[in-house]
Amino acid sequence: MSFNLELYLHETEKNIKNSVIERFPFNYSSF
Amino acid sequence: MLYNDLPSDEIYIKYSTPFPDNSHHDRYRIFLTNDLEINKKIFGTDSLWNNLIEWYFNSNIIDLYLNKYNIVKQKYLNYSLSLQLVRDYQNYQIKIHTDSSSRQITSLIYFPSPESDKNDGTIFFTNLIKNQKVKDSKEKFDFNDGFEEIKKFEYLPNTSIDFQVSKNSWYGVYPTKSK
Repeated sequence: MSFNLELYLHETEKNIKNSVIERFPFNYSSF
Repeated sequence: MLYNDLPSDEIYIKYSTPFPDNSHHDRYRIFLTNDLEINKKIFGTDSLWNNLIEWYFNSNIIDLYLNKYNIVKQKYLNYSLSLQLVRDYQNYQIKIHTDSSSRQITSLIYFPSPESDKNDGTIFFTNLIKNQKVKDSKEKFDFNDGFEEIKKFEYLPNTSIDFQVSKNSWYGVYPTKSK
């Protein structure tokens, strides 16, 4: 039996939709 | 001591065994988060693990790793950590693979028991078949499938390995002997 601590550094594309929500903090589904 | 505070079996989640491609056996894991209350339940109230995990999530370790590998942060990308505590049983193996391309850096810290076999460490390979067709970054290859060992790490305490994931970061673990 063996144990490891595994750390992964991930790189993901920023979500454009989330960026819009940050700029316009209201429910944009009402457009 | 970290080793003595490792959680009991029932807290770990079992990987499906074997993987559909028969590449991965007898592995259990816990996905760690920065939630101190949950960590106290996993490791105990006064465990050093709680401090270590808090440090991982609250330090600037992402920048330290990016600097180490001369990776320049891109404005359109998010960088995040995931941390897993893994328990492998005897005969665990993982065939030769590079790691998923969504990973930038992989870091492994060994916690061998006194009975662990030092030959159970991670092995890095070079791809001898230059035109080896790789369908995607999750594909795994047999140990005799056109690869040559270039570095074998001993599975010993106080050992940590990290590397930048690339299309050439071939590594694996032979069937383990540690009981």
